[in-house]
Amino acid sequence: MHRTYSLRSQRAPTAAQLQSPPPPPSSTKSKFFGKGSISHSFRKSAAGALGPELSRKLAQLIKMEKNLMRSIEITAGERKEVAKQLSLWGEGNDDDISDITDKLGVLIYEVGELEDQFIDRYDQYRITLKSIRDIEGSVQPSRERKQKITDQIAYLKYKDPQSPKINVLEQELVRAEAESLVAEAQLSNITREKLKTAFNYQFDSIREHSEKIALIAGYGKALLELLDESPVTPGETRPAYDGYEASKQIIIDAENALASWTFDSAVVRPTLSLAAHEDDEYDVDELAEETENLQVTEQEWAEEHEAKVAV
Amino acid sequence: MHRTYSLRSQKAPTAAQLQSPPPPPSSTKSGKFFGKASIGSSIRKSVAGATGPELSRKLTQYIKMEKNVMRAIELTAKERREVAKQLSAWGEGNDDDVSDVTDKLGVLLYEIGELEDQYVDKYDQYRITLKTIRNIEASVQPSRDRKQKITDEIAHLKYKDPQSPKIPVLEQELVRAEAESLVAEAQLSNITREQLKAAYNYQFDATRELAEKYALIAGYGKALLELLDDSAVTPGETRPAYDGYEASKQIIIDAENALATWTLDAAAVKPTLSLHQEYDEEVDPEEEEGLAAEEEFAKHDEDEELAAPK
Repeated sequence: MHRTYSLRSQRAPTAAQLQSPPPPPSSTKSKFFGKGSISHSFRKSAAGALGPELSRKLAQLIKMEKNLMRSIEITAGERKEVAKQLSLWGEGNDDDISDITDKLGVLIYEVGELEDQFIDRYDQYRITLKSIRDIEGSVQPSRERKQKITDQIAYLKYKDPQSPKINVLEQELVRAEAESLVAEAQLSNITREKLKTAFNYQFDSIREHSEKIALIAGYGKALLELLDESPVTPGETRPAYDGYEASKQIIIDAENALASWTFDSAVVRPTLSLAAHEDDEYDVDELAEETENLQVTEQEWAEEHEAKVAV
Repeated sequence: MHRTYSLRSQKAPTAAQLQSPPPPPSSTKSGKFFGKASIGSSIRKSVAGATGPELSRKLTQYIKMEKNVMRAIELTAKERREVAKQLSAWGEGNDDDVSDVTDKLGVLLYEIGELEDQYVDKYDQYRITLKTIRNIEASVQPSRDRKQKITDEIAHLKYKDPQSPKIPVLEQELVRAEAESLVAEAQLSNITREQLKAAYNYQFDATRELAEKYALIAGYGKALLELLDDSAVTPGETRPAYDGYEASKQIIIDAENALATWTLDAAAVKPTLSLHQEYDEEVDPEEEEGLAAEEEFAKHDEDEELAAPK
């Protein structure tokens, strides 16, 4: 994690990195042609090259998110293919391997499907960001107009101080400033509102997606238990496989778990120091010393604040 | 999910799909023109196992396809890091609160990219383990071929020249070849299962770790969003000053700690298994010793039943 807690400064190594040596970098990591695809590079540099300057960075972000979604889409496609190939390979093997790889394939295929659904939700997040970009884009002309009028007035005051145009322009400036105030307020409000909505939606879909993936991995491990890996001596026949019912049941369980998952049943929860800290502040003894009215107000405020910080 | 519980037959729609309408398909989905996979991955897939022993062809192809998956995840990880930096860059030009919150959000999103990178490294270990199965499949092929060849020779000679002295010699060779073949087949059988189990256990553990960390990060992200005041201001009114710097930094510290201290033992997501219902019941510490002992024996028996079907 960025020790400086900001992406805008240099990164220091974390304690975790110094402590446990990670596995060697993968042999597949591309070394030659750069890590991104050509189309992604084009999309990124073309984005926001036109259009209002105010919305340029956000426009670029939105295009980059599109790149990310394309990558996830490719991953999903590859995963589904891998699932089918696993099942295909296993089919030519003994009964137990054949059955288990087939069921593993079903689970892995499901991961690909979940990724596909995740992308659809990701797009909703992206579209919400677009509304911020749009209002940034529309505020630009408003700012420019105000600037233009101010420049005109300054120019006339220098060139022809008695010009009747100055009054007219000054009135125009007042109107432009009023419009600008409204536009800025709209920008301020909509940016925050949409940013919050977009990311809340995004994080919720990440939570759902990742919990389901974790579940699938868990069911996969249960499937593996059905594989008897005790060695046979040459010439000895392996005991007959009778895990068909069990493996099918595991898949049914997995299907049910995924179908019935809701946010209420989400198990992964972050531990927040601040929420705990808030609890400490409101000491019962302190409250007892205050008048009844103040006590009620403090508690109400504490509850409100806890509700705000707790996830 | 495949209703038929097999990838080898047609898929039926699930109850969930019939029930809750999903969001519309994303506008970004490619594959209308040039297909969904990159050219590199298509070539890699078709070339794989085109040469080499037939026995190991399917697995070789599988291993190459897993490489495609890894490349895709790698690309995703890189894109995520770029997005994180861009988000922070955009936010910097905004007011204090948006600037701080987006910067911290960027830190979290960047971390997702890093986790995916580490996941790819673990995925490679799984892939390398599968290669041992492929290698032994490849080495068993010659053994089978040899046995077959000797059998054919004997049959040919018996037809052509039944008194030939070569026949006993070949028959002895066949016995030796069969012995070697038995050993090879046993090795294949053992190693396939052993390595398959090890590989996939490792893979699923890595996947669980990644998924749980994703979920944690998303949770901390939502906590960050709480610091953003989205109440509307009227035109001309100044927004209250932002004072969430300490809070946002603390959230990041908490996230960092949570990720650093996460272990598989602490994994929160656990599958519900119909078959293992009995195991999930908590042992009452006040239970009599006799009852507890009985339960232990019962569990042991069920363990044996499921693990080693005889």
